[in-house]
Amino acid sequence: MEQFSKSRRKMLFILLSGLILFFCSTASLLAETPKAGGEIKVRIRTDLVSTDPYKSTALINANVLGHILEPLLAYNENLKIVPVVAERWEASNDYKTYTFHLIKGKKFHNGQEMTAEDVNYSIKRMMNPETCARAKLFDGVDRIEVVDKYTIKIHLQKSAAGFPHALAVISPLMAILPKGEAERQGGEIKHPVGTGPFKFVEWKPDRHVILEKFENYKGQAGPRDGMGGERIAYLDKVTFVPVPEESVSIMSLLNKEVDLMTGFPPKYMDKYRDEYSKKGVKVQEIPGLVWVGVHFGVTQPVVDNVQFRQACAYALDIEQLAKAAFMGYAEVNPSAVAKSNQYWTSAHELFYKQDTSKSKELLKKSGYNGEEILLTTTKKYNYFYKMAVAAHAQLQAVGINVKLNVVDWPVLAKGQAKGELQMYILGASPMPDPALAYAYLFRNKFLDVYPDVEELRQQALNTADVKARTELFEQIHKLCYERVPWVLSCNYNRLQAHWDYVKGYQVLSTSVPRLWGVWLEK
Amino acid sequence: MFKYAVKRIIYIIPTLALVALMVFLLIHMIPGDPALVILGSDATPEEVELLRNALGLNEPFYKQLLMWIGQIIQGDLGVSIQTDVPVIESIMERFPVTLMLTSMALVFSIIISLPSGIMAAVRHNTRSDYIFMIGTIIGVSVPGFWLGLVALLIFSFKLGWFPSTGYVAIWEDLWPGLRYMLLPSISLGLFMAAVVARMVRSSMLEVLRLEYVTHARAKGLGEWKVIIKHALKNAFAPTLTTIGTQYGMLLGGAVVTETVFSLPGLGKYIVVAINMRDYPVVQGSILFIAVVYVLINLIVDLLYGFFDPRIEYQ
Repeated sequence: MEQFSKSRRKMLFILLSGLILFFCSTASLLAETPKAGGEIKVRIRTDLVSTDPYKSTALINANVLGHILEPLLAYNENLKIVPVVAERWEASNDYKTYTFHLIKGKKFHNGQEMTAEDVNYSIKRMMNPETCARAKLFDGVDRIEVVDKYTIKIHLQKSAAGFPHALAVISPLMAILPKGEAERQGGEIKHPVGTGPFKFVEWKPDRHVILEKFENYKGQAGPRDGMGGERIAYLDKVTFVPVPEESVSIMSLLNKEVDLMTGFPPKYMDKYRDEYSKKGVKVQEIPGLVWVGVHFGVTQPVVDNVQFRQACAYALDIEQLAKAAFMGYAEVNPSAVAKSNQYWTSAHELFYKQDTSKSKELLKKSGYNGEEILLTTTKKYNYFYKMAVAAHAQLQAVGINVKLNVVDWPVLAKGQAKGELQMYILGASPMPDPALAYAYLFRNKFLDVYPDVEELRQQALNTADVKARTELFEQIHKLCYERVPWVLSCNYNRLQAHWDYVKGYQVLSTSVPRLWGVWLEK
Repeated sequence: MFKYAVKRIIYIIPTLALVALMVFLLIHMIPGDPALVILGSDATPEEVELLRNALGLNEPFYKQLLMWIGQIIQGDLGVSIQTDVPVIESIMERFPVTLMLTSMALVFSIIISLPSGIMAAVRHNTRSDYIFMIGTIIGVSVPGFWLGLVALLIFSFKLGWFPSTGYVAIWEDLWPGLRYMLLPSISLGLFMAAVVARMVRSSMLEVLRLEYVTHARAKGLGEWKVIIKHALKNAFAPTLTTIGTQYGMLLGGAVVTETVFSLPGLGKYIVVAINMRDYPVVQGSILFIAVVYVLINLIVDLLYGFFDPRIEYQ
């Protein structure tokens, strides 16, 4: 009898546990079931620069317009290229011809079906320097061939395995527009019409950009993956609100005037942990692709001496620089290839560990005689300035007569582009392809002195094989280690905050806020 | 008076021409390249040169200046390098916001400054006068951006009375519009209130000592009648000058206030344009503000005669 009641109790226990488990899992499933409807307000740091997708390289344009307009190709979470408006694509064996097979029945927001003619029209606009800020990326295009309604071929003058990166570049967004759209709008896109999951409603400068759900959206199948995969819009309305002031943007998030905040400042992370998280705010963090570091104008006096640059590299502690600039919310990385990138290997860890005695020794060898060195920075990006202050102190500690030169952004950008600065702090928009990132970094006249590095970069551009490209990037990093064109410190983390009722949101290393697959649980 | 007004309007022309020249020279003297700002610092030198050519930035300096002057004469302020939108169109879209902000700040400052200045003068050297003086010193010393942030922290974040971001025009929706404008206009107007109040106090002190005021009192007129009707009217002329010049300061202060409160006004537009080296926008907007400033001063000068009949227009 006792045994019976024991086994009955056991049975009852199992049954109850099962029931509890069932209810819990059903509840969690229900909680995670996307809900359609509602409006999300997203804080952006700066206002849109232009509604024409190719006009400006400002990342904010790609962030907002990327919900309305879609490119042929884009990067997934692992920074591999995936199709967006194309169903699939292939390259010829010699990488001189690329064929894109478009998704059939994909509609523009004006109701028109997207065809190869629209792609042809859009690529021609991308190739025109008058209409596209990165027309140079398409220099190698020989001709475009519309094969049929849904197939288009791009013929290149010479083989280029890296060509798809030009179509997937994050900023400007190489979007597909309806044929003749710019002309219909007076020569420039003022009311963007695309194929994205959201359609454009209005842009009131410095007030807001409003988008609404596009009901007839048709896109890729498969799970959401970076900018690839399915793009399901659950939200009825998206409003981007520019709030430049950091402290004001925090207030607007806590007041629930915005639901999601891009660019959460690291200095508020302690407050987030102690206070905001208890209220229901969530901060997501992911190592980004933007590197920041100290760069040398390698043709400038004193800095043109490689031993002097090596001395600087030994003087600098890149971990401390990262801490000073980002309060530790950064991934220390001396390479231009981000750790999350498929091309990163341990070979990219090779760099100088801070050693002040070695630094002083090299300074002596270089013949440095206490000449004044200008370290140029800007306060437009606060972290540039903070890193400059830390680097200034570390360089001075080994006896380098370095002077901080604080200028505004256009002055720094011009000085860098012309190779006129001795030493400067710099970062850049995310560039998933290291070959393109290196091209940007080499603007410090590095190639004038070491043209052999460009050969390796060109080889990487013309190689599709991941292993071969990985080796080429390792070689470039080794050469950069020896010749010290820069001392890169870190890739800073992307911090984005939102209320806990915002579901399905995921911050990406490219920092693009992705609002498809996001819903509100209010 | 009509002749005087016409003469003053004619004088405006060389003033504005000088402003136009100064603005053009200053903005072009600041280092930085608008083409690079548009294309990003990763643009190739060829791309930059192409855009510079397209924007006419490679033309000789004097040619660019002459072209701009030619445009102004035709009433054309040019087109934004960044957005391709005509500058005048953007100004007309944003100036109402700035005008509303500065006008509300002006009204607020007058409401505060007139009674407090009069009170301080009437109660000269008493405790309330000292409190007034301390208050005005604080008012002129506190930086606008700090005041804006503190106001947001208290009234928006802690008390939840006002929104911290966003904007609705008053003519679109009155009450929400007022909620968006009240905090910015108070924090902008406080400095002006302090300056004007000090001017009212000192002018009133001067006038209250004059014989005609004693005479009015001797006639048996009530004290407030003497102060408001006889003293204030005469003391108001210098105050009016201060209000006129301070309104110009409000237009300048709006730059900071609009940035802190994320208002889509002309000030914020200019700040962004300067950072982007958008020459036509900076030139056009500053010239426009100069026109407004000059016109306000003209109105103030014409109003002088109303408050002080001794003034004759020649």
